Amino acid sequence: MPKCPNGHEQRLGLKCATCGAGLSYREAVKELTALPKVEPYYGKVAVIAAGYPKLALKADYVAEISAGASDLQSANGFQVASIRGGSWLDYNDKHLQNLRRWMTLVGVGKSTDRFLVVDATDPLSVLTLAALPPLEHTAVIAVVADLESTPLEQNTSYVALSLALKKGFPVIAVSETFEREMLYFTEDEGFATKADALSMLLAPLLGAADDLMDLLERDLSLGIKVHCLSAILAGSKSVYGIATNAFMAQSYNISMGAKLEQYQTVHSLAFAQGENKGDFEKSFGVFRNRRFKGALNAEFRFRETASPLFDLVTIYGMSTDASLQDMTAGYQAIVQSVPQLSAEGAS
Amino acid sequence: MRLAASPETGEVPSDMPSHDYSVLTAVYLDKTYADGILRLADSGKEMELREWTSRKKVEQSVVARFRLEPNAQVMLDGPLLRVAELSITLESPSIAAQVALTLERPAREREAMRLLSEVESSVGGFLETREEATSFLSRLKADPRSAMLSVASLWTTPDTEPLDAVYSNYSARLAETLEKVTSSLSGAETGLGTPVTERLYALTYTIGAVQDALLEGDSDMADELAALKEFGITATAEDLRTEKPSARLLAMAHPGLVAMAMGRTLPN
Repeated sequence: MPKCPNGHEQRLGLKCATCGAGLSYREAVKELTALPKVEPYYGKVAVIAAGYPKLALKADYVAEISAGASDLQSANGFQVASIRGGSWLDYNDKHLQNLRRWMTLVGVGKSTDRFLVVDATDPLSVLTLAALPPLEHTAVIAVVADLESTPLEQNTSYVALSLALKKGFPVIAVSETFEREMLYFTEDEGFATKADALSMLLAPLLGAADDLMDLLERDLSLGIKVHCLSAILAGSKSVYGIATNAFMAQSYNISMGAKLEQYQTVHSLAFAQGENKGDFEKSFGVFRNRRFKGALNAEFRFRETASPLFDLVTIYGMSTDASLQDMTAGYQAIVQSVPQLSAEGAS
Repeated sequence: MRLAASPETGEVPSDMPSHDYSVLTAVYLDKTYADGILRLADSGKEMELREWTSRKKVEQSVVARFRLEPNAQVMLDGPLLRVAELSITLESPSIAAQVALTLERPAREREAMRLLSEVESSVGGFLETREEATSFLSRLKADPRSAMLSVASLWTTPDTEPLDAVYSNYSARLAETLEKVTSSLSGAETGLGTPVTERLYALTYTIGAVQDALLEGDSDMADELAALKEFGITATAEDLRTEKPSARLLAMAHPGLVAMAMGRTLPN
């Protein structure tokens, strides 16, 4: 700060307010080389979609990793030039460093929670998971290959999932078949399939990001790294009657084709009017006791909404081996022909 | 210094401040004039050699009128003063010295303006760099991701935090440009005087404070506006939120600085 000859300091002005002497700024002017410290706020929830374009998602930050005609970067997008006939290894070799740099610049690690939504059969999913540092509070929602996928898709999917698990990211897996057959209907938007359906499914989940991450991380501490899910969206009492019916109905269409005994935890998130909370909570207890009595953990979360319709999403913790079993044959077949396409080559 | 003598074009304008000095003798174009008057504009740019038209010394006529150039050579020898083709003997050495000082004023003014222009340029360069930095920080607050991408080229070492690299880059540039300011002000202080130099330091700091207040989002900037007023700058908080306020503030302070610098060029 400037000072007068008598040593009085003052923020601004030509004369000292204490003694009236002239203020000197000769030394004070050096303070201007130090800029004020700014702590930028990057938002609480970041969602990054890779290889899955046209998702309509809401979060503090939404970005897309995609392939197109040329390399392009923006605050919300990282587009790489498509590599004709390129495998995940080709994309990694060419774009990994740049993607890592972009992720650091846009502060992917600076949000509180991160959700990666990936098409694990797309090479970009491997690129994205390889580029992302092993950050806490990061989860992956992946559309994964299944028995109906090609061996190459199974290989890419296996590598992507392996990368995610190696970095400690809990995974919610949705098989390609489940994703292909997803069909939701709402009165205002009509039928929704594929990307639209996935967007609809993810909307309530990401709206309860706190709860979701809490459940996933608690399961992670129990050694459960992979989950699958089932859901009823825009459900109504007139169709399902009591909430127990809704729980039971949605459990018959789970996103991965695992056997019931392979599920180790079960957690439900209900989004409905406040007056229905008690019904849903009680019904969850019934549901859990009927079908998942041996579960290591089972938690229910409720989010109040104004809508007369409800959303119900259940996630099921499963063993890692069970999640990878449908991809293993295809993965190994590819690795036999092209050893470089092993999971070890992706990190 | 070249003199342009044109007695027929008229006198030193009567509204121009001037002083009359008694001339014991004057020699111009090989002609000697005794007991004349030298009317000298305070600006030092124009003068007239006059003579009394009658013995009663009631009226004067203009012998020659001179428009003087800033690089005029003035030679002084006791009461004798020579300016190109004009030699005049004044009443005393001290009066001759005073006249010489006035005649040299345009040269001093030109030098002062040159120095002022140099220091203002260095101050402007520093403030422009700082404004660039604070503008970036404002964008960082509003949209950190876009802001960081816009300065991606400043992050060259992967093992540092990008924002630290940006701060480091700006700090280095600010240190460099401030060094130019202090060096420029130090070099100009003799010519401009300490009050002008101190005023420039104060102005630099105050405009820096305005930059910080804009970054902080201080809505009324009352302290800063009051401080600017002391420099003769009247502005509102809204005025300061327009583009490149630092350059405009410096331009608004310029007349005051010129007046201070020119005031110093006046003879005592």
